[in-house]
Amino acid sequence: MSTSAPHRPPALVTIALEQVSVVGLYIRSTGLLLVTIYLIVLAATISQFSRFQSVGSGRPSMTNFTFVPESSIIVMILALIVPLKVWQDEEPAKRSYHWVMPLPRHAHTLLKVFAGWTWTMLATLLFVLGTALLPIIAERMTGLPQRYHINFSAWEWLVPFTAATITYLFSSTAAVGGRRPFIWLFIAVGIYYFVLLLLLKLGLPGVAQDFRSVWAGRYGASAAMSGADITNGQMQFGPYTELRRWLGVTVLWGALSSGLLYFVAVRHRAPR
Amino acid sequence: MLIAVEPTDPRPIYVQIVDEVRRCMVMRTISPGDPLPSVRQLAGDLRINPNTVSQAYQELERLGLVEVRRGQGTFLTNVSASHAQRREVARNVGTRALRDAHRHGLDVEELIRAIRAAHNTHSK
Amino acid sequence: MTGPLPTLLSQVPLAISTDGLTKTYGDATVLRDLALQVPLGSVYLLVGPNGAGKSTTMKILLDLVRPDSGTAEVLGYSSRDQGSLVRANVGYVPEQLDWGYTWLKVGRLLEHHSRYFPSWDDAYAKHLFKSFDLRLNQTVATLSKGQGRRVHLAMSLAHRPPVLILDEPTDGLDPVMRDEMFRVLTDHLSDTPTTVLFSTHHVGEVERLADHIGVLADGQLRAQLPLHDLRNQMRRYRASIPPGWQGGHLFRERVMRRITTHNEIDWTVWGEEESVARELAGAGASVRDISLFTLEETTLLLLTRPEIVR
Repeated sequence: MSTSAPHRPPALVTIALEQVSVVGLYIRSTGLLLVTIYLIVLAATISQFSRFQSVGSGRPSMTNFTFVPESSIIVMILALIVPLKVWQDEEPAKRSYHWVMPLPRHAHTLLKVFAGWTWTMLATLLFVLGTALLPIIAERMTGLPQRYHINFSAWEWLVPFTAATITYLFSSTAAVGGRRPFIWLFIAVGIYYFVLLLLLKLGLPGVAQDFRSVWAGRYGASAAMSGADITNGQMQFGPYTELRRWLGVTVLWGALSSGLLYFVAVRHRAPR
Repeated sequence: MLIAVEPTDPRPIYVQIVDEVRRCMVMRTISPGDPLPSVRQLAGDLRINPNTVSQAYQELERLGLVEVRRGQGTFLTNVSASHAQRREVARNVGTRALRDAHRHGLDVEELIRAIRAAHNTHSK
Repeated sequence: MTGPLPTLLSQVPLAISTDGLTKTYGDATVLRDLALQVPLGSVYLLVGPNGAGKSTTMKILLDLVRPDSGTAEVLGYSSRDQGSLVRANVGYVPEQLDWGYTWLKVGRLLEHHSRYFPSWDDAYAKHLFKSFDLRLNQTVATLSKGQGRRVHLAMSLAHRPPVLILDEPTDGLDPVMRDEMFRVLTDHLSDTPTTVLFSTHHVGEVERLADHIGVLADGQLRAQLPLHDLRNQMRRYRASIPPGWQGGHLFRERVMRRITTHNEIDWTVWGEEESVARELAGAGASVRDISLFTLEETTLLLLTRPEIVR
């Protein structure tokens, strides 16, 4: 007796799109809530502009709205949280439903990460557009020139996106790799400070400084994840980033976070 | 055409189907030229493996009792109404009766006498 | 060899086969050197008590569990090395219903599932849902056990895979639904050439559908053969014996159950009916009755008899 022709696994693109759709559905309610809050804040801010208009003919005092592409701490926090939400219901050991699907597990995991990333990028885009529009609207409504006229190079608009991506990748690694990602976060922070203190106690301030710069230095992880410029150990939000520094930080930590994520995804490839 | 099969019958299911079709022929519930239910229909109705039904239909075709017309289905042939089928059905019934008799410790003569007696009582 | 019944099939093309499959959980050996053989196009019933290793075997075939040793193959694909190819060709109904997305509507879940199987037949899926009395706008989390199983079954049939692996597909279904399920399955087999490997506790209901059987107990197959052969060769013989009868040794391990009194024997023997009857008669026993077993009785017999170890 013959059987029908052998079936093939699905195209990865099809699954990527499907995961985007399904993950979107999953975070929809939270996402809508956040978008609503954001729009309310924007609207509230804009409504304040009219106040300045009607203050009087004298010099109105109003802080200049400066939009800096790099100042997206909010986006960084979002990028940190999204993976935790996406993988919330799925512990690595318990994802039996997905394992039944005709895909290699690690491919499936990575496609899901990709899906969450697209939504994170969408959120980042919304945020950037919204806050970029604020100075424009402010100027229109108040007649006061805003400092957004400062020249931004085109590439600086990419900074929030790369920062969010790197943050997202690290957070996904934690979410995919362990059962309780928050615990991993705490452990990582704990180890960092522990090593720092240890080095200082051992009388190695130079080594301690080098170690600290991995996180807080000019090319450190925090710079990559927040998009802010780190000078003399101080985080500065301003259009001071250099293309070279940004490229270096992004490539370095981008590669590291991707590699870590891939490693963690592949580690769960085979069943017990 | 009502076909019944019994899993505990010593005959394989496909043989039972063949015998049942014969029975229906002899009983004239179906006539030469009539279509048999499709394999799908019969398998679904009886909840049996379609392969088994196919096997039965192939056997019926081999015996010359049915013919398969491409795209139309399976139909009874003219052979089906012959005496040979009647004899075959009788043989099956007889075999079953003999088997039952043996299980009750009766020999063939006792069985024949008992059948005759029962028939006489019945026709009175 | 663990008994007189055959455990290996003669040369036929196989859809599913395992070789030396062994799996241990802690100190419990669930599978012991298993050689499962499911012929291409067959409907293979796997029976055995709970915990016998049926579910584990099915999971190993789909690469959801790795064996400790041995190999498993489905349609020629290695379960270990080509797991996703295997799963692309199999419709699977698991024993434990595990939903990835409990918050989805059933209709959306169906759509989700359909993306993973390019051969998905959407009209057929909708038709199956109707047959199984399922609603598309119900949330997955609110499905009862029986409904969940029906959803799984519908999804496994909808992409018309060459192989179906069904782990207790009728569990939790009432008799009416079970009957409907078998009707659906029979129709499906008529339309789509399929190899079916399934397990169930309702053995009597599947007697007509199954054509092969494997009896799994203690991690090994007590018997693996075409159902027709099992039916033909298991008989219960009641015979009267003369005083001082010397035939007690006859057939040896082929006697599955043996009750011998001073003037009667009630033996369940594995073998060709005519030759067994002849041998008994030849030994001086007078055979009074030869009776058959239902499949249910046969499997019970095979499972409860003490295992004969080499």
